[in-house]
Amino acid sequence: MTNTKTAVSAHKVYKTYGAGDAAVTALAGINVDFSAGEFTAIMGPSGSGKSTLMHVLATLDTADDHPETSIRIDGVELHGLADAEVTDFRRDHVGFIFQAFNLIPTLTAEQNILLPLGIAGKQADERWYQDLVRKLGLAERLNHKPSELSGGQQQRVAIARALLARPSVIFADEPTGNLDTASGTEVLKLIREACDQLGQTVLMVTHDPVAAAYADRVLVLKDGQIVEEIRRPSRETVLAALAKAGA
Amino acid sequence: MKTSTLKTVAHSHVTSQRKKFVLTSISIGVAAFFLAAVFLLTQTLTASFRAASEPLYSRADYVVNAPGSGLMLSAQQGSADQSATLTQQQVDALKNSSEVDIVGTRSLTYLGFTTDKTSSSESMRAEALPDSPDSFTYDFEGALPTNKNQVAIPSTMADKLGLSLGDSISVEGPAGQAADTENQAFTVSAVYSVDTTLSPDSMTFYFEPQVLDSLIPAAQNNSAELSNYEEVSVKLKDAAAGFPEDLKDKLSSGSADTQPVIVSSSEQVDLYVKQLSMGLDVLTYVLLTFAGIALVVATFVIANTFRVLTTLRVSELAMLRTLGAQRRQLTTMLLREALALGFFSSLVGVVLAFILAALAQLFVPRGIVIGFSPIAALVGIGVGILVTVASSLVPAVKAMKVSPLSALSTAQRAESEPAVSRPTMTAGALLLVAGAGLYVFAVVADRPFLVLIATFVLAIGALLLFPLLLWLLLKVLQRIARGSTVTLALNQAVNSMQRTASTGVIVFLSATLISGVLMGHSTGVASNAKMSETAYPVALNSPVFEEESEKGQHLEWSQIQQKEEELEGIDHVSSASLAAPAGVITEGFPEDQGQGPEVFAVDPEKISQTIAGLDQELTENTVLLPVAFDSSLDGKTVVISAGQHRVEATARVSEVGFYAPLISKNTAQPLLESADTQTTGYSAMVNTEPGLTSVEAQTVLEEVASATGADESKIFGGINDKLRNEQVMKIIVGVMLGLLSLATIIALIGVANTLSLSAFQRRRENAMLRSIGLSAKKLARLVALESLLIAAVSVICGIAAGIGLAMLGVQVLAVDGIDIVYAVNPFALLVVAVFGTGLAYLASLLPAKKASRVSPVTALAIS
Repeated sequence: MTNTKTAVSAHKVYKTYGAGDAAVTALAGINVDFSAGEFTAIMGPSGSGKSTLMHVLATLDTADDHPETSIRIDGVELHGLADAEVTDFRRDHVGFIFQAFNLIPTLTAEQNILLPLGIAGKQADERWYQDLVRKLGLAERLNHKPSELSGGQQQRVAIARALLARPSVIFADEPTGNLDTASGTEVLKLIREACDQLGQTVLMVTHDPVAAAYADRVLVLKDGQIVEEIRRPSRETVLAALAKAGA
Repeated sequence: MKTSTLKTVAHSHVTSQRKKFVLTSISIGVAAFFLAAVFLLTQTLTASFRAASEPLYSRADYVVNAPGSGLMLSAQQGSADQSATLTQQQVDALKNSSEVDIVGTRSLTYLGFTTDKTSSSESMRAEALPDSPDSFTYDFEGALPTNKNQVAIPSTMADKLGLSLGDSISVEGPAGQAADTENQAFTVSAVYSVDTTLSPDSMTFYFEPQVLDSLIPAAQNNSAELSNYEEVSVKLKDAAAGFPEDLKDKLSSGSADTQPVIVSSSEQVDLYVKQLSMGLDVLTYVLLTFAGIALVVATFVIANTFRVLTTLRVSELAMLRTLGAQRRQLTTMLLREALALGFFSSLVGVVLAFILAALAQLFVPRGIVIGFSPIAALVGIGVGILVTVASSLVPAVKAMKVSPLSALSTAQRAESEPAVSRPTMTAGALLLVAGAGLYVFAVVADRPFLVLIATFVLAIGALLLFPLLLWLLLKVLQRIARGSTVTLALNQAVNSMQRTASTGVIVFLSATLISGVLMGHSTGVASNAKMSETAYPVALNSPVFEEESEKGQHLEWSQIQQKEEELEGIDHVSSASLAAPAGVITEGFPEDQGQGPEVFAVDPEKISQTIAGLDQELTENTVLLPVAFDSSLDGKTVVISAGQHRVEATARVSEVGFYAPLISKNTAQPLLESADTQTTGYSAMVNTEPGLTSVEAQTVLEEVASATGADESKIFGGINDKLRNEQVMKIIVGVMLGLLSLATIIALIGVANTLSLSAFQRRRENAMLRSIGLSAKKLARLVALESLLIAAVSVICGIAAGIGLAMLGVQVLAVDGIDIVYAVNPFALLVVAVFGTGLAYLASLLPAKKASRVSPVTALAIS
């Protein structure tokens, strides 16, 4: 379920690493909008800039200074803000799901899920929390530490952590990369449900065409630019686009 | 609804990572234990002093003090005139006052006494019983003296001398002086309870008041009006009204120097406690210095633990940043963990100190009161927390620099930081330069305290720069190393200099401290030996022929020569000269200097060989006077007499300080043949070869004592001085090494901790080595070898630094005018090198074994 409201927008986004002869252009003036409630997959060959684009959009990295550069989430201009302001914004508006799960190993599943709101100094909505935990099948595992959970369970905890605060956007970086097929499929379905039923906006970086097929839209990057956009993607259309991009 | 915050993360870390924190906790706990123990000890002594002093004044309201009493002088409340006692008029005014209920006095009278139970004379303070038996504040067995032949003694003296009721003592007269009265015999009629030798009454014997006067010669009193009382305790009929003003007026002497000091009984106890505690400050400072050293070593251990753990948690910290934690929140979280660790670890240390103190109460002598002061707990825990938080500050601040992007990198971050950061290197270099400059100034300007400060500054500079030196030395070893395992171990060490430096600094610091103390000790012994040789004219001066002398026999010179030859036959004795009593200077000696001194006859040739540096030849018809005599006597004619026999001689004053005037045996012949010459007081002067060891010196002393038949305690000279000082130095160095052993234990814990954390940090590296074919056994050997190499280089550098710093530090004695003889004890330093390296190696074995157990597959898997 999508609507026409723009959740995330990027305009004239540049990112270069290194200087002089060793300079590498990761992003070459990207312009892209992401609608609220939309599930977008970002793909491309190695070095295409897909991870860099996600890092910059997620405020984990900063774009190069350019007079026309603009990065907005929920209408708030983020480019040029101080680190503390960006951090505060990220805390309140952005959720993350990582390939490596990145749960705090010394906290239980429950404590990991509640942590982002705790850092923000907010209390979780009890009903929403219980609902989420039930939907993600974590009710029996809340008191377990990550080392006591399977990969799929850990990723579901990460999804719960990302969804609990109802962020403006969730960034998922290869969320199925460390999972077996069954667990990966489960995770993708959950992300899909979050978009359909909760109106969550999700941006996912992946190299897996099967995973990309769960998205509403696929963006293919090459050499720091968007070279193709696929609406209602299938595995085959994604593969073809990737082949065309040289992945 | 539950919450989960950064506090939750901090708490979960401290509890979940207990094993990683165990060794660090022990370091903090040991340091906190020692600190608390120091304060418990000082509080115990203070409490014991108070318990010892309070009974004295338990029935008094006020105490009137003589301005010149020791207590008033130490409290800086009295007069500078030490002879200012209370006058008899003042004491009588108190006794006769209608406002005073009871008066108790304390005198200044010290007397010698003997008993059947002891062979030598003992000292006591003689005191008159209070007028009223009610004001005798102690419990006692028997009955208080009721006649002039009875005495009440304290239980401390009864226990010490084995005295009991009915035993007798014989009072000799004022201690240290010949008695003017005949020895007086007293029977012990009462033994009163004194809990501890700390009590001022632990050697007070109570007599009937009239008896005291007969024991004190009239000549001892400066004035007929002066009493011998240094304080009078007063119980008032109406204490609530305060000390009566009219009585104060009566006590007023009109002179500031003799004005009595009136204080309340509680103030008096405070003054006593303060006086008894005066030496305590020095003890406290020394113990706190060693506690400080232990804390410094603990600081390195804690700092390293947090550095490693923070490095291991970069991903987690980055994750927290992605979830919206601000930089300062991460720093606060880490400091919170440090606070929790510091609190619980030091709490355990402090509790242990209190438990041991409670157990000690069961074994300490009666009268020692264990002072369970809350200050000990507060200091132990407070300092433990402070040190832990301060040590974790740098890693905590570094955590602020963690970027959220780090959460997304799954590659192991290589340690890229150099062994020594630029600021640390700069600080170290600046301290070395500043320390060197200050040192030169201090030596030139004769400022001993500045010498110590400069040495300390140089030591800190060296410590800061040591990791750089370690890196350089390991690089040199890398170039010359042969063998794949050694080369690989050195590569590992050089490529991870932060980890290497963490282990190395702790070993270096410990080796520096211990070898510095040992170097200081060996230099002290050598300097003392030289000082003893030069400060004394002879190595030993012993009474001789005491048995023969007692028979009243006059000795032939041949007997004297025989004894000289016997003494010269002792190993390491270079020469011996016997001195025979010849007579006394009766004419020619200035009258204002009192009676002329006794003169001794010697063989001139022998004496010039025996007295080191004798500047003048002892010629015939000359009496040689030591340097202590007035130089105006030089050249004067004096007469030496023994009964009716007289000999004239010319006085010569020497620059050397030998013990008595000397005359040639030939010149003294008429006196020696005289029946009036006294036959007691023969002495043997013995000189030895230079540079004797303590064992050789002790042997010479024993053999001289055996040859002369004298008790060793009656023999004096350079050797005694040397042996006595060496004994003191041995005790001091033993205590210092004992106290340093605490820091060494913490250091060993630190090494084990560093290696353990390092093994965890390097599990991927180790797994890689396993995966390319290194067996578990070889991997363990590699890790242990790496530790051995680091420890060996660090110990050797530490020994060199310890020697150097000690050599600089002992200059404080040279500034004081003492000749320094530098000496190294190679055996002791070898022991430090072997043990230091060995212990550090042993500390690495378990971590090495754990490191080798890592499964290549598990460790290489992306977690």
